[in-house]
Amino acid sequence: MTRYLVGRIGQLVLVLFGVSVIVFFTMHVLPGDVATLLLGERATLAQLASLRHQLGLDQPIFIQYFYFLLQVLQGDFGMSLRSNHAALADVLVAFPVTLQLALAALALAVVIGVPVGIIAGTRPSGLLDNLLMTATLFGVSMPIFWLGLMLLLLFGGLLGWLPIGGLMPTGLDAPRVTGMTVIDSLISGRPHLIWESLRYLTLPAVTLATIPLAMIARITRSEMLAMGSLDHVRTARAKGMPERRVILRHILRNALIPVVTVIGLQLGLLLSGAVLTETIFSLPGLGRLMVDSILSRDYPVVQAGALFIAFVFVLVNLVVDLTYGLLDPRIRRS
Amino acid sequence: MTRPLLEVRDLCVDFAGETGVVAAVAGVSFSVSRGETLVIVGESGSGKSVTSLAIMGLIPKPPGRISSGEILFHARGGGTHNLTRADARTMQQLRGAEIAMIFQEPMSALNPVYTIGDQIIETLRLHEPLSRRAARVRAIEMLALLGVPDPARRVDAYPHELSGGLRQRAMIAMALSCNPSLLIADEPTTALDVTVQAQILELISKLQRQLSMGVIFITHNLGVAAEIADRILVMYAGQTVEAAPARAIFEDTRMPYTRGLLNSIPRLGMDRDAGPLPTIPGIVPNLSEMPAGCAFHPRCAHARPEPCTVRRPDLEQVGDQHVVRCARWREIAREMS
Repeated sequence: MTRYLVGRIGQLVLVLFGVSVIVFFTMHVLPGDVATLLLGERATLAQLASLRHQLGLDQPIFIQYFYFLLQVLQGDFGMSLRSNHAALADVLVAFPVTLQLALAALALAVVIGVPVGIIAGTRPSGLLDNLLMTATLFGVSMPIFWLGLMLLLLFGGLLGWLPIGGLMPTGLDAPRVTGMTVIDSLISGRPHLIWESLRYLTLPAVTLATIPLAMIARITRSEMLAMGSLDHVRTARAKGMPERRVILRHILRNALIPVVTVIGLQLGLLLSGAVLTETIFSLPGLGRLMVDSILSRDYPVVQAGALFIAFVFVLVNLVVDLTYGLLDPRIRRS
Repeated sequence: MTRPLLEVRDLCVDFAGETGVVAAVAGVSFSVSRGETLVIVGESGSGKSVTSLAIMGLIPKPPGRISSGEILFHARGGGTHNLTRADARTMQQLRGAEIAMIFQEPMSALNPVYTIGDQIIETLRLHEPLSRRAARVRAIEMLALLGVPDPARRVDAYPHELSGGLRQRAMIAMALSCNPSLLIADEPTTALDVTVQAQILELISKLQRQLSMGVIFITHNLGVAAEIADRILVMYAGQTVEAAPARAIFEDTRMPYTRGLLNSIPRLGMDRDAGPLPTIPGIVPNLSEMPAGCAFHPRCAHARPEPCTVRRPDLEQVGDQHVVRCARWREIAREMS
């Protein structure tokens, strides 16, 4: 087990190194000049050259990468060219917004998607199965920006039940502890804050949950069907086990492994920033930070963000792999 | 003779396929008493496994359906149940507790994600009010009874950590854990090495005597049948073609199909120069394309256009508890002697 973990952490380092290379060089071959962007069109050549020198941009690119790597290893990604904060600090401020959104969306997707898959998978080709599977087909093929806008229009605009964007009402904030509004509100213990934070989270979470929910429901259904016809399920029935327990103990448990894979992949994706959802609901999350930074050539933030996302992605994958071991002893002991 | 434990009367099981409804089992009758071993012999597709699943109430529906017949089971408590009509609850109470089943491939028949102990404990606790700890003690006892070495450790093993023989022992321990009065064994030794196979057969016979169970043993191997059978029922294309006490099947064979099966068993000391081992030509007919007349006639060396290709023979009494489905059995007996 220890050897396995050490191996996986070694992999993590390798992946991060690869990502750093790709991100660094991609940012530097992109058209557009940082110095011009910063100083504006009217800067003199001398001013531009001086800034380039100051930023180290006049050095050969490999040297630049070497210095970049040296700094990154010390946790220093440079200063954001726009906000004048440390680039990593900007990323770490945006991440909790995304984390909260992703976890809420995934929780919805799992809590609804898995039971939907079980219900459909235990009544193959029945009316309910057909209805649910048609619904999930709509779910997986839903354009998120459209769905988000429609939900916003209906619940935020026409009905006025839910806020149309942002994290919390203006001027109302729980003291920042984790950066996740719901958790921070819970910590503050003020019911009003908790209520508001949940209201603000609802629409974006529902929007973001749609695709993973439908995918999880579909994969759960097909795995339930595949596992349901296996011999050990017949054995369980032959023992005199009630059908409900056969389904939960002997079909679902074995069907969960591919479901966990999908959940893990989805979590990785959601954590790397839900650009569309964050944009529609004006949430200052990681996805929006990355897009804004790329558009303004704020390469320290892009580099910090990309490496951070890669780190989170690999970490989630590691957790998923460890979960396999919990679910399947054949993997655990080999 | 005492009342039998299980009586199957004129059982018919249909399957709806793409080409229409086919009869996988077409009117099979037999009975099993306590302490008796009935061996059902037949090739793949003869309907022997479907018969056993019908008794368990485990025919996959759809596409399967018991279309007629009765399966009467006399439970320990004294009640008689018609298993073709019993409700789900009754079946759940009987399965595992009174009627247990072991399957051919112990690797796939055991759930890979639970230890064998878990799976035995689960069976025990479904039918008996036992604490987990007490059930675990019983599970270890069962494994010991089945001759599993070091049962206190093996109880925590997962199926993939055991050899085929040990897995099958665990499977049998699970089936017998609630002391059933009827055990159905569907080719339990087919996937095992010959030496392990002999051990398992011996074990089943021993436990049957100890627990005075009725056993229905399903196999395609008449050699295996010879070792354990009290009575043998030979099935072909969903029907009984010959049934008799074991000795009569081997010494007074009537049905050409049974004789074909017997001749195709290799024996020690066979003359290798006498040519290859005899086989029965052809294969079991597809159930949706059954030949007219006797189902076996296209493969039968003794078949004549009249009556074999025209009329389906009835089951005829040919001796004490010996029945055969062959229109020409008298003539064939004369030809053979």
